[in-house]
Amino acid sequence: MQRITIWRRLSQVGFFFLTGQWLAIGWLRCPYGVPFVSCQSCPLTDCPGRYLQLPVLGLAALSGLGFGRAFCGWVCPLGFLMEVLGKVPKLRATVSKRFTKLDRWLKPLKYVVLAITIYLIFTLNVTTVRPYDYVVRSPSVFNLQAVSIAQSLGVKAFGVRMWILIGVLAVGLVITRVWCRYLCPLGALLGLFNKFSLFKIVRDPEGLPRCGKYPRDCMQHTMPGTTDCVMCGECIQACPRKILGLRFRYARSHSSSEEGRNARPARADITHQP
Amino acid sequence: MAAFSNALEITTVSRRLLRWLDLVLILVPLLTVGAMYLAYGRPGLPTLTVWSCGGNYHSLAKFCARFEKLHHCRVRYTAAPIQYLLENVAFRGGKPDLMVGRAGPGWEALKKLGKLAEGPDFFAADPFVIITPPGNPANIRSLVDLGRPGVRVAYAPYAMRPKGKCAGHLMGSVTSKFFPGLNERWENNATVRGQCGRQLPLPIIEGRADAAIVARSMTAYPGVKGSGIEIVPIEQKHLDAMRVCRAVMGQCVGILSDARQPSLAREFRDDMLDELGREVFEDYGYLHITNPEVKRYSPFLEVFTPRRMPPWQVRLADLLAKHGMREEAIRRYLKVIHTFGPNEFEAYAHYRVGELLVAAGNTSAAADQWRQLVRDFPRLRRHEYGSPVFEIVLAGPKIALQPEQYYVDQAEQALRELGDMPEQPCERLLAEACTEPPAVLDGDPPKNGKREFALAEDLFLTGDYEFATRDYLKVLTLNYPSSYRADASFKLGMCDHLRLHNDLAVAQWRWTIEQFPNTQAAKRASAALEQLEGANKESADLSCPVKMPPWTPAYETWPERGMTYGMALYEHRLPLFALKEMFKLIHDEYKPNKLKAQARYRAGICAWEAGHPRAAILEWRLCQRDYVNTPWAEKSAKAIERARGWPGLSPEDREEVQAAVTGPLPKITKRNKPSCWQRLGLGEEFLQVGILDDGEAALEFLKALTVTHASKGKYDEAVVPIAKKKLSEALCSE
Repeated sequence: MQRITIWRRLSQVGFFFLTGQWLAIGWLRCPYGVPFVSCQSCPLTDCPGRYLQLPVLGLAALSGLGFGRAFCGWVCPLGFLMEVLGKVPKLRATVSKRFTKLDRWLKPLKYVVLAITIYLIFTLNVTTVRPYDYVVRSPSVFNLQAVSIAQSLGVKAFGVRMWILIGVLAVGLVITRVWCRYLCPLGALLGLFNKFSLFKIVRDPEGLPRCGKYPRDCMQHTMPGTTDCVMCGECIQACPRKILGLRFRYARSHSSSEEGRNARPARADITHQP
Repeated sequence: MAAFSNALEITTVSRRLLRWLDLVLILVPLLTVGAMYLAYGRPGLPTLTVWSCGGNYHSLAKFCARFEKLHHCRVRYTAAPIQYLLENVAFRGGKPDLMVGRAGPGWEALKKLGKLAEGPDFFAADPFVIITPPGNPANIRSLVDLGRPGVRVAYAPYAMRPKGKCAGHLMGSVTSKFFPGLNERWENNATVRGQCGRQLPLPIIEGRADAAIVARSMTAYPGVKGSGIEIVPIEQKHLDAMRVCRAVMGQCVGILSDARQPSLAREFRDDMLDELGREVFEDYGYLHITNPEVKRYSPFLEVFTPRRMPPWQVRLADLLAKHGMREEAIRRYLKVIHTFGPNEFEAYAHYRVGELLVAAGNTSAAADQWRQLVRDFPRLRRHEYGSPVFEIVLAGPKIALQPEQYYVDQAEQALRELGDMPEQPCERLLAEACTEPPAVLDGDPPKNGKREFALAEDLFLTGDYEFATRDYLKVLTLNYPSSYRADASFKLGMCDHLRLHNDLAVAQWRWTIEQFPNTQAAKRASAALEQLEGANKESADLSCPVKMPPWTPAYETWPERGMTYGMALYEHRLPLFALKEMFKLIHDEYKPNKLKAQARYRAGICAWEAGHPRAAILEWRLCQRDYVNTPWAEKSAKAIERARGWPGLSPEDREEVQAAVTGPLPKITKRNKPSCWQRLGLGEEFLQVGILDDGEAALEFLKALTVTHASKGKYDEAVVPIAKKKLSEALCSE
């Protein structure tokens, strides 16, 4: 637990209140096959997506350009829920260790999900000429009857979506952030930005050997600065050697080489630590 | 970055404190959500469950909130497409206390299922109105003005029924009853085409369009209310013309028999019908039932159950196929596909067309039909009224219909059995004439020529050029000025060419180039004319004792259009079809008219040309008898004289002609509306004058037994025994 966690949590809670209704309606009642995509043309007037989509997408884009996948760690309400579920300690402890071996094989799965999602957007959303046939409205997001009626509309996507959500939430109890790590298409897309975002988490100095704390203690089970890193910043504060930091990626090369030169003697010190 | 780093170092706190802080932050949203859920549930308060169709969601949501406060209860309100709500009530144990919605067939279904305890009670009306920009710059006063040249119209034909499709139907009905061609002109004037009815007011506010037909409630939408748009009411007689749906949408509320809170439900209903309802619903643009203005619309406030046409058309096609009238059966099955928009009989129709084409030896066209079936079916979305609930109330013949997948499988198997069939041999045609018919969608307004054009296109592909000619001519004449006219004109020439009437084809293509310059059709016509250089273009030798009097195409009234169409058929050497149009004019199928005398005279010429000299003599004699002292009676007398000495007759025909001249006249019974009787009269006319070999009489009797059921909701069962008897006569005579 780090101090930055509190800041991050405040951000997550704020965005959860702001976008939670959209999240629920999107997963359970969106009349399009792929939710959160076609909000500007959606006839579901009780859903706040029409007003939230552009600002949130803008935020995600800014996040991608500036900080890579930071959107996932600081904004995404589903990411927050997944993180909360991962806090249930006992189940997580027993299953996650065994699951660790599969982790690196499952991580590329989200790119497959991204490809499938893009395909589905063009086959389900773009061709849905009459989304209003599948609209179920209710003044309250807590009206579960509206959800059950939506499920009875006979659109397969509705049922598939609901079971994916239930499944993800259930598995989230045993595998921390299972959605974000293996399945989230937006996360996969933003993760690519980690390679060229303006800021990145770097080890300072470069070339130091790893202490082994990461990826073991990371909620994403990844190394800082990789495509799976959600820029939560906890590793920066938790690093026992204080060698991690947020840096401007495109800083002048001479300064970094100078830093590297200056840092060289320190490496010897660290490697000789007991 | 320094600031960011500093922010992280705000204070030195212990790890345990951070853990607690984090837990609190996590629990805050979770507990808030839980508390909100509990607050929504309001334990201890009575809960009223209200379901409605989606159209009145906003007004009803507000009403529910007001009712909750007033009665200290909870209203669990859900709005969804009505057929799903009805299915939930009928088959899935859904138990709402109240249902609210338009006065559609759902109420009848609930009654028949025994689920409706009280109601439906009308609480508001929502008539269609015309909206114009502030000041009404185009001076729109009536629906007729929407077809005026230069008026810019916004419309959304493919939007959902109440706010999109129904406007098209309203124009179609007014076109049918009062102003031929209005619908086509209205469509041609459309400068803004919306996907949803809700999008129509915006172009009016912005001045991008001069008028749109919208439901009155749409003028109260946020952004529309207070924008200064003007509302022009639609004349009562125009609203009354609409039959397929209601031009004044009545809003109803009903209490269900399984209501858990019947007394609270009654209070809810009473409040809807009273002051609270008036306050809320008038704010949303509805005319509340207590508003004196509603009296004007009271004739429209009735539960409306439409009749469905597709099953009757399928029944007619099945019967035609059963009685061996294969070509007409194919046309009817294709009509099922191209006339009614997406419906549950399409897959069956495609499959049957394929079967009939194989039986006719046209395996290539059959394969095309089956390929199309395999490609396009099963459909992903439901059809309008495609719910088992509506089957309870939407009466129609029982058709043993299989799921669409069944016909797809059958078609696949049939294609396998046919082996590798080549595509339709388009290369033998002069130009790129084999085009896919335009898809007729749910909301395509009637009477705009699209349906006829699509049907003609498919008939063209199946190789039935005579029937295709007929439907292309419908686009050109009955649907004047349809936007499909240019293409129809070119294809008409193509049909003439393929029917080996090159002289007609050349004339038609020249006319296409002249009438529709700078169009794709004109280019194709030019190319076709070039390719026809050197071909035999001699005109056919007509063999009638008298010449057909000329007719100048006219489109002002329906009878004029009917005559124009009939004469066009005659000019394209389809005298039997032309004869039928003359009969239609005589029997007032095109409304009462003053063209009957000449229609009778022209019918004689058509009958002669169609190879029925006896029928021709009888028609001319009827003309003499029924329209004495008219020039047409004189012309008929001359025609009879010339016919008697006509050298081109065979000895048998001469005998028939002599017998017809001296024999008794057939007794033609005048049959008035509804349509089933008119069709019977038409069939009787064919029967009486002895034109039986083409199955036209039998077709009309079959129509009297089937498709006329759906005609404007009126059908006289007394026609059934007579039509059946006459059908037997016709079939035996054939």
